[in-house]
Amino acid sequence: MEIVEGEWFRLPHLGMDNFRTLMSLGVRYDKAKGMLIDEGTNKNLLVTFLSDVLKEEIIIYKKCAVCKNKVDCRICEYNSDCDYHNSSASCLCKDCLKNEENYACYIMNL
Amino acid sequence: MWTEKYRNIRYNQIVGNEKARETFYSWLKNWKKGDKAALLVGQSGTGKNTSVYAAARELGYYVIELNASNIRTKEYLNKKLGNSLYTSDLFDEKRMVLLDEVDGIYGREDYGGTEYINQLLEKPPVPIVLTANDCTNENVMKLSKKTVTIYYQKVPLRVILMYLRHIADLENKGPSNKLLSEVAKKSCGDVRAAINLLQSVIDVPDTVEQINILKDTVISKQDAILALFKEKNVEEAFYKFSKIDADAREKLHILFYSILASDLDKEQREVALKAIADIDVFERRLENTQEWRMLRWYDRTIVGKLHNLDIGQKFRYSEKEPIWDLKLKYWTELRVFRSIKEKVNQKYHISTGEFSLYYLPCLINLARKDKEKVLNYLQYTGFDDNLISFVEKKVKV
Repeated sequence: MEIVEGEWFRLPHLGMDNFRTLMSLGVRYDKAKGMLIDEGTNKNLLVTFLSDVLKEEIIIYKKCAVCKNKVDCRICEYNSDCDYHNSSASCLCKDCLKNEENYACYIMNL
Repeated sequence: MWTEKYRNIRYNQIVGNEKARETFYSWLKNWKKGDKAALLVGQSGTGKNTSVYAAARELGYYVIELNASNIRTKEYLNKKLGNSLYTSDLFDEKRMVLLDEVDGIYGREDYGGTEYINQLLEKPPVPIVLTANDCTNENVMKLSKKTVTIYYQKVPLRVILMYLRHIADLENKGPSNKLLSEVAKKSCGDVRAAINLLQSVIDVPDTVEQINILKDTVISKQDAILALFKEKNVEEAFYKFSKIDADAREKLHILFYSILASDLDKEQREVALKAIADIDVFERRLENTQEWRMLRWYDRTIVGKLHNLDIGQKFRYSEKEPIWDLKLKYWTELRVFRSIKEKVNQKYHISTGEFSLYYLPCLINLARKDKEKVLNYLQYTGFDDNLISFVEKKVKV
């Protein structure tokens, strides 16, 4: 299952106990929009919990602050040094990182 | 310093924590008298203070800052903030308060500080921003109920790399991508640390390898503690011990539990525990006086006191508390001892400290020479069975 930080997503019905666990992990819930991971969410525990309950791999993507594409932290060259599950939701994709004007684009997009 | 130079930037020029910054800006922009205060929680170098100052500049606020270097007692806070919060100056300037590192307000030095802040948060007359590093801190958890809590997270390394390249361009420096990349990796998501490191290495040739050497190697608690007793060279022992991933108190606890768990003979245990007691006194003094600059001698003191004890073979690492029986013995004796001290206070009008230091050892020594006489004297002077059985026990030991 793929989840993008800062974007609403939906989960199948998991029962009341699992829902409570999700809330205690800091997942936000809106009846109409679904669920959302934000700064208050414990992403490390969430991945472990969801992969255990759903019996499938859970991938949390960040979003590129410049082009808004998904960024996969698993294949990033800084993967071993970056505490990506405890970092803010927006990062840069590989192409935008190479762009010499990326800082100007970054502040324009905010 | 580049960190100071690039601190006064516009709000949208800050990097990382985009959502948190947006939330904070809209909180300050829409703030009305009586609204909740904001609590910014996050590690250092994530942009909390920079956000506050940049937002304040853009929205026309004057920031009254009280940081961790100020002593924040109730009186001090009242003196510093009391009038300025409820009056306005000639130009009707908007004001806001920034209380930095509220998780550090505790102890005798900051007596009443938390209470004053809690009262202030009931109905804030001006926007109040509190910042904290540790969201698990008891003070912070209490404060978070009365505030709008905004979490700041570490900044992703690619974003830090982008910002470092931007700063290098502004400074007309042309560092290699490899150097920037190594600095970003070393920063661990802390923008301030990254800028500081970049400034210190940018003009030095062949620094990439040096940064790799500089890179902190965190040694596990067990390896670091074992090195203290098993490493032959004192400097090597100090190097490994100083890399331990634990705070001052935790180090002391592990050392204490390990010594209790080790199979030492009486003399060795006595010397080791005496050393632990000395380190404990040092640590407590640091806490009470808050002279944190002395903390740099803490590891050195531990190594100095424990390295040459020659208990390497018998030492057993343990993070667990001593066994229950032993603790129970301590507690039981302590309870008896307290009741005795109270009686002595009433009878002889001496302090408990004085009694434990001078009178009790004398009584025990006398009892060792002539037990019956001392016990008769204690009975005659009206002490209850507690003291009598305590002295009897000590004489046997």
